[in-house]
Amino acid sequence: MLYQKAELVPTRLAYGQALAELGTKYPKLVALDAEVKNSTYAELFAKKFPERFFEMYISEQNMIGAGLGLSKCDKIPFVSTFAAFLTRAYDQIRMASYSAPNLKICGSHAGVSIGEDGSSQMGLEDMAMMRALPGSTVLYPCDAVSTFKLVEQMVKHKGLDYLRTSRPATAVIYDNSEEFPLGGSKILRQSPFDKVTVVTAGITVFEALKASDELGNVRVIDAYSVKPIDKAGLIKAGKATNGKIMVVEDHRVEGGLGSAVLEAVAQEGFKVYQLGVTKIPGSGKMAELLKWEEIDAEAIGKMVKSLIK
Amino acid sequence: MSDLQEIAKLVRYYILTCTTKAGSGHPTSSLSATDLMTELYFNRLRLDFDRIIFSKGHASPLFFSLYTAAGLLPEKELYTLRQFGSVVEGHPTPKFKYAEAASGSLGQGLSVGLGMALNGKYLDRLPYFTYVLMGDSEMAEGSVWEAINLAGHYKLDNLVGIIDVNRLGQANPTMLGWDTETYSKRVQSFGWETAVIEGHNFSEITRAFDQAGKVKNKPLMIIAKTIKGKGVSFLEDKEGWHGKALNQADYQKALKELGTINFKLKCFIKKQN
Repeated sequence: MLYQKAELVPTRLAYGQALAELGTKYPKLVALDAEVKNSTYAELFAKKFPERFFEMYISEQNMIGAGLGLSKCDKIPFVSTFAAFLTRAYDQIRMASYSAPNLKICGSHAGVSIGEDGSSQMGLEDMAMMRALPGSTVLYPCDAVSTFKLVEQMVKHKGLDYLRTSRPATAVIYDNSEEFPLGGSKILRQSPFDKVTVVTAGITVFEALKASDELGNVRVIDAYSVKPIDKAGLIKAGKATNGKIMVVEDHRVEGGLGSAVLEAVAQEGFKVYQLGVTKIPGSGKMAELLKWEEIDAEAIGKMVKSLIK
Repeated sequence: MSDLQEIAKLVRYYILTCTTKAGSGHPTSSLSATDLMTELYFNRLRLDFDRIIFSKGHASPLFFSLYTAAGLLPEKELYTLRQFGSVVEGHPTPKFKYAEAASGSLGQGLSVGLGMALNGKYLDRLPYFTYVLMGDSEMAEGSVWEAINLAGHYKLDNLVGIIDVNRLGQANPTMLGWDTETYSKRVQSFGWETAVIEGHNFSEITRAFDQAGKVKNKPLMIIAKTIKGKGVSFLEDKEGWHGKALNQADYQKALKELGTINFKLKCFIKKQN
């Protein structure tokens, strides 16, 4: 799949496109979904490979167990539903982590950025949940190219891997030739005069870019690999920006990307500032909700200014 | 006494011995399913072909003892049950090579079996059976019914569930007790075939397993009325014995009740033909 720069493609759509395309190359790839395949876009795979797709209906706990069973039969199962609804299957995911799994989980509709559907549909704890498991991998891409590449990384990687996708369409920012190794990160903005590093992933990458472009001298890192996190890259960036790191994420401040960054740089004596979901969100437009939770470009700009004055 | 009864006696010996040596574990929950699993392992199962999940992971003394009886787990290793660093843990994990998934968090095994059965019927199209042993207490878990629902929907006639209805949970009797007919009606209503049996009667157990795969497009649930602690009179159907190993005095008493054990029995799990 080739994407055009600036083309608007939701990462959840790129997930489905990746599954459908990679299904040819990887015959062991199978997919399961909990009756939201037209939202997670697992349906693109289901249409192309109906014999390798299993509709699990709305039984998330059962879907995780069945996925584990398929992985024990030498298949590479991708299971998908809204990130919010994976929380009810956490015990099954936890037990899978003790079962030497090769299980790929996709949680879509992450964060308050889903907008109008409101709090019950927003995955806001999923990264914390998935990060806490032994041997897990947590990936949170911001655009279609990185999503596509990370899905292929998941196919090749053996283990319990989690991909977090977003509902809104986001602009393609990466070249199709860009590679996204697990444990890597991308520096999206930098100059020799940077005063602070903003570490972010997913939907808020675009808010950070906007803030950086308005203010200048703000380094922006796309930490698409939340676990394992690019510790060396973070330390390098922190050292280059006076030990000041800001983390922005559309996830609760407890346990997500901010926590991952804090854990990675704790020994360095950096100051780490977090912007994340702290209030109870509701319905609204994406922009209104990002503003309400203070994770939009304006909130980022405000914090950057307070840190560099 | 038939060979299977002799084997079951040997397995019971291992269950009692390994838990008493460990000083903890779940002998009574193991003893209730011993006859069912003896039939399955030594008269049905094809090693490395059919799949088996112990959803009631606390029956790990039974699980491991079956492999010791089959000569696949040395007795010496069985007696490291629950010790730090041992592959035979309090509840099975894949550290032990024949445990495909970790179990012990109840209500999950049938979903794992569902995935394996989907693979057999629709992907690899191999004629293996997937067997899942469940306790009656875990039938209170919603996820079990999710799996029952989906297995019926996908017409998985290669999936066999076994409910060990021993009536007693950890703290209380179960809601249904020995009302196996109610379990049967409920499971049947999801498109399953059921076999309601006495779980310590080998001819009934054999007949029940014979039904596997016989009814096209329907999974089979064997609903077996059993006795927790079966084989040791002072443990049988008694509350207060869940998750308790016998002390030396009780262990010696129990061995006396088992009688002579034939350690020279030739028992093995079949390979696929």
